[in-house]
Amino acid sequence: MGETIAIDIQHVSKIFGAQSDQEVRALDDVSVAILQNEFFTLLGPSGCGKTTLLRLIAGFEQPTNGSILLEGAEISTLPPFERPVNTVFQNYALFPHMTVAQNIGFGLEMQARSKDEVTSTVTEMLDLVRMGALKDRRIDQISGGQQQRVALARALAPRPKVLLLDEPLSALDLKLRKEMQVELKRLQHETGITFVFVTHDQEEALTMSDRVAVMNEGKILQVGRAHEIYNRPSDRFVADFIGDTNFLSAQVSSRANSILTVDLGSGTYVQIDSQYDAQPGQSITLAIRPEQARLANADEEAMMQGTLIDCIYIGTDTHYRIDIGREDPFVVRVQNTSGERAERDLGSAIRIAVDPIAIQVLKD
Amino acid sequence: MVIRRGAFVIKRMPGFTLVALACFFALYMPLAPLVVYSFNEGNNIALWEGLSLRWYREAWDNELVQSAAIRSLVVATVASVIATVLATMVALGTTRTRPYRGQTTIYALVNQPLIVPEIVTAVALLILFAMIKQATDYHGYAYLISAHTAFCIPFAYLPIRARLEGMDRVLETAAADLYATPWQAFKRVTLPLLLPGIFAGAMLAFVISLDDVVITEFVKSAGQDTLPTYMLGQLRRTITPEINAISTVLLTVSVIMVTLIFFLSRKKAK
Amino acid sequence: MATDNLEALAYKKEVKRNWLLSTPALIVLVCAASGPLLIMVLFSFLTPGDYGGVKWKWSTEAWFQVAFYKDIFDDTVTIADAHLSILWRSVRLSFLTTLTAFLLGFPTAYFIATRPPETRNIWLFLVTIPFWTNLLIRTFAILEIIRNHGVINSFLLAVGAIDQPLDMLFTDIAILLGMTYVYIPLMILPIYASMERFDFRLVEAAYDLYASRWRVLRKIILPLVKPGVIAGSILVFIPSLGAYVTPRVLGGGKNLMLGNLIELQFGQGRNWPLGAALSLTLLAIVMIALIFYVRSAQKDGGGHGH
Repeated sequence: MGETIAIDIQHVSKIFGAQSDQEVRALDDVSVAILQNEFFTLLGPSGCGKTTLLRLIAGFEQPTNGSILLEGAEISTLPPFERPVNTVFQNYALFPHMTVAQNIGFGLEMQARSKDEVTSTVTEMLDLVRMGALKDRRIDQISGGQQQRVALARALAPRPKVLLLDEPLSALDLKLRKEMQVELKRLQHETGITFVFVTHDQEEALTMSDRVAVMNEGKILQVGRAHEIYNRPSDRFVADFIGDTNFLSAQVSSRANSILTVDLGSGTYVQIDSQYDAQPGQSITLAIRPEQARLANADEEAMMQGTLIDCIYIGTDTHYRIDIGREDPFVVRVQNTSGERAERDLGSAIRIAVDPIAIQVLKD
Repeated sequence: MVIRRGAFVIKRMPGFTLVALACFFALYMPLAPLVVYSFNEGNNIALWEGLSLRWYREAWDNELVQSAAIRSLVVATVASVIATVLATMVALGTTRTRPYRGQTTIYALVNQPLIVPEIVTAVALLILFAMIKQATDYHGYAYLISAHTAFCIPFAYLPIRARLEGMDRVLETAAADLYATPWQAFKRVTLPLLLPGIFAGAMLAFVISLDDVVITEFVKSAGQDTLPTYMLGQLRRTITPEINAISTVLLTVSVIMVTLIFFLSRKKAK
Repeated sequence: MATDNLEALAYKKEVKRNWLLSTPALIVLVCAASGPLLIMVLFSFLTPGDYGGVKWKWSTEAWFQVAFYKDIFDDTVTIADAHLSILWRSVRLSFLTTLTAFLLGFPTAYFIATRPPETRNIWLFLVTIPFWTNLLIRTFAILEIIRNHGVINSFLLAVGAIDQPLDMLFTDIAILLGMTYVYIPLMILPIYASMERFDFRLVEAAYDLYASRWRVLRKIILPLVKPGVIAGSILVFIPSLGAYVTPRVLGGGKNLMLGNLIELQFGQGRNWPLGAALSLTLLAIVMIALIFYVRSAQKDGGGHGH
C-alpha cells in the first residue's frame, strides 16, 4: 500500500432540497484521503451518508460544496463517463438484454477498444471471477451470487483507477457472503486497484479493510486501521457501533502529563494514559471492551465489584452480566478454553479487573 | 374437499355473471352478420344467396376503394411513424426526470387530443386549413398527415411512457459509470429495453389513424377519401355488401394488431 | 472551490434536454391540435361569408345565434328552440348512454376481475378488440341489425311475429343503442383497472360482519372502485356528447345531436362562425364535466393511485 493519495475528499458537503424548507444534510464538511492500492471502507448505519459519498466520487451526484480530487486532479466537474472510476452497484444493475460476456465487455466497448482487445480482456475477467463457463448466458439465467461476480468483472474490466463497491454483498446469504469477502480481498491484492467499499456491517468492515472510516449523520467520526478503530474508538458512537462496549461515566480527579487520574466513584481511582486533554473535575466516559475485562482472582486488585445477574454461554465464550450499581450492567466476556468453565452462582459477588491500558477515554 | 352446492362463494354477485356474459355476447354478436354477409353472393342482407367472394372482388376492383385504401395506408404509416418518434422523444423528456417548470403544461398539450372531443378539433382544423388553402392553394397530403400525426401522438405516448416508467434509471447510471456518453447509453441500454413499448405505441397509433373518421371527414379535400370516409359516404347512399367486405378486412387488421400488442405486453411482463 | 454551482448546472442541463426532446412534438400539437382552437375562437367572432367561409368583419352574431333567434322580419328575439332541443338531446342521450354503459359495464368489469388470473387476460383481450375496431364499422353493425331490412326485422318477419318491419332506425333509441355499443369498452376497462387493485379480503370481512350482498356492493365495493367508475363515466360521457358519426348514421337527418348541428354549419348551413361558437360551447361543457371529475377524484383523499 503506497503512500500516494488516490482520492482526496476536501470539505465536501451535500445538501438535498437546499431551496425548499426540507433540507437534508447528507454530508457535512467531510474530508478524507484514500491511499493508492488500499482497501478502504466507509462504515456506518443507514442514512449516515456513506452511499452519498460514494455516488459523489462516481459522479452520479454533484457536491454542494467542496472538492474531490483523483490523483491530484479535480474531478467533481466531470460527468461519470469521463471519470476513470467504476462502480459495483448494490443490486448489480446488470444489463438484462445482454449476455454475461456482453455485460463485462460493455465498458471496454465504450472506451472504443479493438474487438480483439475486448474479447481477450473479457476472457481474462471471466477467469478472474471464475465465470468462464457461463459467458453466453443471459442475466436472468444466473444466480444472485453469479450476478454479483459478473458485476464485479464488469467494473474491473476497464482497469479503473478506483473501484467503488456499494454494499455489494448485502443481498447474499451468509455463507456466500463470507466466501465473497475473501474473494474480494484476493481480487484487490491481485489487481492492485484502490477499492472503496461501503457497508453497514462492522464485522465485514474489520475483516476486509486496510483502513476504515466510521460515519454517522453525514460526518466522518474516525479513520484508521481495524485495530485502531476497535481498540481506540474516538467517541461514543464509534465505540458503540463497533463491537460491544461497556460505558462508564467518571470524573477526572487530576492530571499529570498524559496520565489522568480518574474517579470511578465509591472510592476507586484508576490511572489512565491518555492523549485526551481533560481538566480536573471534568466528566468523561470510559469505554472498556467486554473481552478486555477479567474476573479478578482472589489475590488480584479489582477495579470494580458487583453481583452476577446473568451468565450466558455462547459456545466460544461466556458472557457475565454484572450489576455494579450503575444504570447498565457491566459485561465481561471470558473465552471458554476447555476445562475452564468457570461456574458462578447468580447473585454471587464478582470482582472485575481491567488493565488500564485497555481503557479508552471518550469525548463526551 | 369443496362442497359445491349451496356454498357461499365470496366473490359471486347475483346476476353479474349473467349480465357480463350477455355483454360479451352483445359486443360480438352484431359483428357476426356483418362478417357473414360479406360473403353473400347477393345484395340483400335478408337473403342468403350463396357463399362467394364477389363483394371482395368488387371492392378490390373499385377504383375509389383502391385510392381510399392507399390513402388510408399512406397516411396511417407516415403519421404513426412520425407520431411514434415524436412521442418517444416527449416520453424521454417527461419521464424519470426531476420535476421542472412547465412539465404539467407539456402533459396537458400531449394529452389534449384525448380530452377534447374529436369534432371540436375537426372543426378547428377545418377552419385553419381552409385559410391555408386559400392562401397557398395547396391541396395535398400534408393536411391529413399533420392532423393524424397530432392526434396519434398521445396514443403512442401512453405505452412508451408506461414502459419507460418501469425501467430503473440505475441501468443508465451503470452505463455512464462504464464510460458511455448519454447518447451511447440511450442507444445501447435505453432504446433496446424501450423497444417493446415503442412498438406497441406505433401499432396503436397506426390503428387509431386507420380508424379515424371524424377529423378526416372534416379535414379532407373533395375526392380525397380514406377508407372510413369512403364508407361513411356509402352509408348515406346505397348500402351494398361491399361495405361489409371492407369492414371485415379492417376488422381483421385491427384484430391482428391487438393480438400482437397483447403478446408483446405479455412477453415484457415475464 | 469551483463546485458551488455544479448541482444547479446539472439540473439546468437536464431541464434544457427535456425541453429540447419535447419541443418537436409540442410544435406539431400546437399547430395541428391546440393552436387551431384559438383560431376557432377568433372565427366565432366573425361574420359568415356568402358561400361558406367568413368575411373579416367583427360580429358577436354567432354567439347570439347559439341560444337565440332573431326574426328577420320583426326583429323579435326568441329562444332558439331548435338549438336548445338539440343540446338537450345531446346531454340527455350522453347521460343515458353513460348510465346504460355503467349498468352493463360494471358487472362485466366485476366478472373479469373475479376470474382466475390465467383466464383474466383472455377476457380482457376480448374486451379490447371491439375497443380498437373502427367506430364506423361498429355503428354500421348496429345499423345492419336494426334497419328495416336488417337482422332483427328479417328474423321477426320470417317467423311471422310481425307483418310490417319495426321502425327502429332513425330514433333516439337507435342512437342510444349505437353509442352504448360503441363506448361501453371505455367504461369497462377503467372500472376493471380499479377492481383489479381491490382487495377482496375486505369483502370477506364485511360478510363476516353480517353484511348482505347488496350492502357489500353498495358500501364496500362501490366506494373503493369509485375512481374507476368516475374515469369510465367521463370516458363515455365526453365522446358521447360530441358524437357525430353514430347519430349521423343511426339518427338520420331528424335526430340531430350537437355534433351534427355543428357539421351542418359547415355544410348546408354556411355559418362558419356559428359552427365555431357551437364547438366552443361543446368544449366548455366538456371542460366543466372534467373539472367535476377532478374534484370528485380528489375528494376521495387524493392519490388513490391514478
